[in-house]
Amino acid sequence: MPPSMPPIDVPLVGRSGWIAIIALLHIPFFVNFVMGAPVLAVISEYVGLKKNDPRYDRFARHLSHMLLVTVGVGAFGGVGLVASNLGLFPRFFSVGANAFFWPLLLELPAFLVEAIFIAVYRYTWDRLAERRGLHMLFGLLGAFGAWGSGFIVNGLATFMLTPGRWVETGSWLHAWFNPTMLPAYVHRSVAAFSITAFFTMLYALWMGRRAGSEEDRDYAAWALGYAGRWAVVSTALQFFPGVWYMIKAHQGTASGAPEGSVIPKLLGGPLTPYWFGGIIIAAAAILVVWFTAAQNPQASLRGLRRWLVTLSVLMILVTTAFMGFTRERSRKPYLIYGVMYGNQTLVETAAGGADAETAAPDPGAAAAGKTLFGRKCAICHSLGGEGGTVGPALDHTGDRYDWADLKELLRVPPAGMPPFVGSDDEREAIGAFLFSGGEVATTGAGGSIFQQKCAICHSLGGEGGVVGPALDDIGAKHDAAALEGILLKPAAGMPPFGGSDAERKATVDFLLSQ
Amino acid sequence: MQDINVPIIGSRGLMTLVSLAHILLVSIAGTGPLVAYVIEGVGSRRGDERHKRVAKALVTSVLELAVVGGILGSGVVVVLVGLYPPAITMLANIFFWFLVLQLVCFIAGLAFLFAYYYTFGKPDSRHRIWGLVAAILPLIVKVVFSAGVGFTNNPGSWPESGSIWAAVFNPMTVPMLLHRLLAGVSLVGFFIVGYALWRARRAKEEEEHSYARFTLQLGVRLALWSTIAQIIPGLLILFVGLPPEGRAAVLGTLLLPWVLALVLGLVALLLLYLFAGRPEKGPNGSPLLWLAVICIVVTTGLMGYVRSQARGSDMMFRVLDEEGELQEVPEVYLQPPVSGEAVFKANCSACHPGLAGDAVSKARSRHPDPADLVGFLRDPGATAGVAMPPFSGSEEELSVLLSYLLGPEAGEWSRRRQRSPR
Repeated sequence: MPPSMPPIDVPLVGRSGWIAIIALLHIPFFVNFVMGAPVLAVISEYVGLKKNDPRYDRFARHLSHMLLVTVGVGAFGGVGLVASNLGLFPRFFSVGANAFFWPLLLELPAFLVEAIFIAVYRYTWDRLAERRGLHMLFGLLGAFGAWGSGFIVNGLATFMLTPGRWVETGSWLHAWFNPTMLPAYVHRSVAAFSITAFFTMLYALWMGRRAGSEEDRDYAAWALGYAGRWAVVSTALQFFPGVWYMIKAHQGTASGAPEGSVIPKLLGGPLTPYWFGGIIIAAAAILVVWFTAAQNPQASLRGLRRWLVTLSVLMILVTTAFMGFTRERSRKPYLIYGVMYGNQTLVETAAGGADAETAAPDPGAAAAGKTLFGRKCAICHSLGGEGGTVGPALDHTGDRYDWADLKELLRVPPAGMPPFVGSDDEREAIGAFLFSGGEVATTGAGGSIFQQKCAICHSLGGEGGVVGPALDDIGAKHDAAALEGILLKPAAGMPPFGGSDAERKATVDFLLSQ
Repeated sequence: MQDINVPIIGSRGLMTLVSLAHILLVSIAGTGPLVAYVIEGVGSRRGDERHKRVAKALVTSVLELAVVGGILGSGVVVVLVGLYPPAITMLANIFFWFLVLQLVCFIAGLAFLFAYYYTFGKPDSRHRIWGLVAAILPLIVKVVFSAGVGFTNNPGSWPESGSIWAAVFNPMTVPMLLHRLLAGVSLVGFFIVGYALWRARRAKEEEEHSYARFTLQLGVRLALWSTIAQIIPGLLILFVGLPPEGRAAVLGTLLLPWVLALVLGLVALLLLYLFAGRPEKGPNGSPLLWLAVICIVVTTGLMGYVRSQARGSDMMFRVLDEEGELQEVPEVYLQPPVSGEAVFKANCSACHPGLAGDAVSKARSRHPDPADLVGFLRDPGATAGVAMPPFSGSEEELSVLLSYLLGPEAGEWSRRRQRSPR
């Protein structure tokens, strides 16, 4: 876990707003498009070959040009998203990178395959004119890299809503293949075609505008119709993975947190306007595209229809934003559902997955804490009726304090109590002992009683307090009876022993044996 | 969190592999546009078309290297977050706005480089302007990068002053920037040597052979001079940039790898000088030239190793020890939040303002009564439709937070309430 640091202020939009803006700039343009475009390009190239229609080839070639630029800029946009999360949400991102270390490492070769083969696909267009099969294979390899990296990032994104069995096992495979991972991936894959098609309609409009010849105009109109048909079909198909995703998200969140399933918030709750609104807007965009670009591309290159086509692209971007917002908001108050709150506080110790330090002290340290409690606290505080009466009894500490507060209290105590002077490990040990219910061994051997009751002031073998005299040679000065007497009625300045007869006897035996 | 065990090569090995690949690529991609811009300028002054051809070939490669280098850069970040979360999150915290600047420069630099590439050989008067901007933007990236990496070796006066400028212009920044610039030019030179050897192998006609020889000479000259010139910033890093402890480590326990790196660099230079300085020898010297390229890559790796080891056992020299515990840092890193604003930033500002809106105006309009606000902050889930984590800070933190949100009277009310428990 990273050290605590002064948080970074993002003016105007805030930290979460900043992430939302970068994600919205990055995802449609550089994730969906980069997944959809190479597949669309290869399919178009293939259809062009079969139909012997050069328009398909021109379309695919231009797509490959756009891809080269978007892959490049998108790579850095991705780094931007990572760096922003790292700076603004360091505790969350550390947990995410820890759970997803191996998938994220695997993402490197996937990205490299994507970047290299998309470049090869674009640069070998003419050189491999006689070997189209190989050329299309390069394009598919580029697509394979893009779809592979999407498969990994989608795991991390869905993990935040449905961490699934990772909460118990801490396994990166459970984190990756979480309940909503597959439906969300299919959803994103269909979106890849939809977004690519919508962007390609803009390209067709642009080609129509700068067309110099009749042939160019024909091409632009054809491209608009072609892209429009892709847009209508792929956007409508989103319905099926959408339903699947909703079912899985319901199952995945129902028992994940006390708040229960997030789906009611969508179907009839605070998020309905965004969720249902997004669907309505997408449906409207489908209708607009159907009646303009798909039905009458020639006329849609100009005038009012041209603006309607442009509007439909904006509408699909609004839907993307609304759906992203719905997913993010439905997860609140958590960053990782049921595990980590929005302000990066862990809800509780999740085995294997969470940081033990913030939630509870290490129980293994309780034994050492017992000794420390005796030395440092028992002079004033009691446990199980044993100990001092100056401060309050410390029974049931675990019910009254959480660990973070107790640690803070040891560091900056209330008035009248001296601060705990010791190492972090010792603090941890004290906490563990108190949290264990303080099973203080009042009938233990004399040695541990000495540690609890005497060592705060007296030393043995150089270990212990310096307020009272060292007790190394006490047997030479007093016999057993005299010692018992002292413990019952001490001289001025020393508190009475205050334990049972058996304990007193054990302590005396222990001292004389030294 | 779980420990991550990297099999066979170990954490450090993985880190070394990914970062060496990244550094080699971005060194070429970062200075490549500048070198191409200068070569093209020289060519048009001399009226030599071969210059333009080299420049264009270089830009084409740089476009691809930049993308792959950027992807490997995200790999470096991911490996760092997974293996050394304290160090990388702290660097991101200190340098956040400079990282943002760096990314803007990355993206803008790449966009201008595409513009430069697509206007090669076209009658576009803006071609040279695109090239100049594409050459300058990656240099800003290098400043930020040198500052961040240099900081881990020598934080300078930052632990005392806490000033971001002390962190950015730490003693290592300028020497390291110069060193990296020259190393970038040198690696571009070696890259051009490799390109020339490849052209020579494919050349059939005399014209192609002559172009390959010309390119080889150009690459060798670039590599030779810029590698030799690195001695000056190298000495600056050693005697000005590194703290005394780091210098002692380089000259002491790290002497062997450091000297080995210097020797290998010299071997690379000698090979270049002897076997490529004379173009009539042609491709005969090429295996030895490939050896020179390998030598310079190993030198780069060894020098990076020496620099990272010069930190001693600290993750960040003087700032974070090997366990990730804070050592010498400015006060703000050590003090618990005391002011209302600090409590707000630590607990609430992840969402407010931003997706959850302005908290101060919401608190004043919806929960003007402090008792009501305390109830809300401690258990927001009780209010329907609210998705906010409960505030888990102490009573004192709650009091200052109330002052911040509703005004000082609310804070006073909260303190009175604590003094007289029900």
